[in-house]
Amino acid sequence: MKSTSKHIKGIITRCTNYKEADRIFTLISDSGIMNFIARGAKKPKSKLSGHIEPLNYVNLYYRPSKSLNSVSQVESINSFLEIKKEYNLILKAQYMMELSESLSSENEDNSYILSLLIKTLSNIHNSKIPNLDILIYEFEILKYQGFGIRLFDCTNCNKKLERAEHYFSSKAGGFYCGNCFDSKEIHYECIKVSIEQQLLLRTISRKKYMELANLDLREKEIDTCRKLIQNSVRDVIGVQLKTVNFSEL
Amino acid sequence: MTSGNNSLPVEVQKLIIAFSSLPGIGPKTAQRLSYFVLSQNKEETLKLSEALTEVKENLSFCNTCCFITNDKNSDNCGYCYEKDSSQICVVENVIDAITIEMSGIHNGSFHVLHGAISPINGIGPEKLKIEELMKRLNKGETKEIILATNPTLEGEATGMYLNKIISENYTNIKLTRLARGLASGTDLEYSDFNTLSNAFQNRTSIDEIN
Ligand SMILES: [Zn+2]
Ligand SMILES: [Zn+2]
Repeated sequence: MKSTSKHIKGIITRCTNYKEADRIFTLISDSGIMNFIARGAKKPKSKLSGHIEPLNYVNLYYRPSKSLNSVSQVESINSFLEIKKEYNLILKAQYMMELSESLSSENEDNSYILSLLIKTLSNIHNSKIPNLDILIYEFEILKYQGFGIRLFDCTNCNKKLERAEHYFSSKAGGFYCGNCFDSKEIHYECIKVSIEQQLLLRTISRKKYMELANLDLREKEIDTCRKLIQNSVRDVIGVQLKTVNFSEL
Repeated sequence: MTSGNNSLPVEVQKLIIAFSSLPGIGPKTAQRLSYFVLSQNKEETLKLSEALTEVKENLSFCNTCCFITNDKNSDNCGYCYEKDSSQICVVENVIDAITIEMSGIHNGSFHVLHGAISPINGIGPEKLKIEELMKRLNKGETKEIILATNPTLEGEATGMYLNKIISENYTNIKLTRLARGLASGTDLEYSDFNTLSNAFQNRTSIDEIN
């Protein structure tokens, strides 16, 4: 049976060269993670070359296959050139792509994750605090996949959290109140979170992004919140993302 | 590997696994190659195995430029000795250095990084031969570094990283990179944004061409 051509949009997350002139690549699409082969894409005269690069948002036409979908035509929609000019932004973008990959699945509606990724990648080079954009992205993607963080009550006794410093446990998926923290022998795996840091997370969870401008956002506050979310991601997917280890993040 | 392979002689299984470890070779191709080797006459096969052994026994990477060398003294290969080290062309892989060398356009020396920075694949600067490059620069003989990493995301990231650390630490060294733009024989219509944007940025006055 002759297979018909299909069309899809998505962001290329990683590419490898295959055989003499082919490229194999991974795409985060509306329908989840997909793998493709672009035959001849490494030849300079190929119509596919250049478009098939990580961090390109592309329009793809392909012939579906059980093993690797074969690309017949590709056009770039957005190449995120501003990101590609800065080393630190490339690292951040690679982190976001790896995070999206790890929380996307195959053959499932993935349009929310894709649109969130595109939105963040489109704004990050203009952002005053790129790590804040990434924190929002991390928070939203985790929540969407059903691993949201409990910010308002204790994960052990369910009591409302008082306005105070609290301890966060990624294994518990939220905070411990003072009493529960003192009575549990879990101190080694907890992160101390200040009132300001909790406020930052709560503001993000209510999607009141305009109000973030009123908060005293120091790098340390954002970094602690990101650390807490990254630990949660690690516990959800079972491994540490490779891009987390890059200090420049 | 498919479970069907378990009924094959151990020797063949071993060969299939060995072939599969090569880049671009999947399990099916590995099987096909193994059956080919089985049917090949012994002399031909021994030539291959001899070549493989010789490559590993006689060649190594120079500790200075990280290019291949057959010198026993791998601290300073014949190549390092012969070539002008005031100009160093930095490339990702041995094959890139060979390609440039064969074209005859570069008379200076090379430095092979053995890869490119790619966080998503867990490759950071510390996994490349960057420390070796810095050691060379510390000798104070280098006047120009030509960054010839590939115009891919990883290659560009590597170039930016090197540009940053070299320009910060060695203010006397001129840093250049290969021009980016349209490849000869390509149609504008099919060019990607990155290539087009580079071609516009690196555009030249008509006089320079003639
Ligand atoms: Zn409690
Ligand atoms: Zn050498």
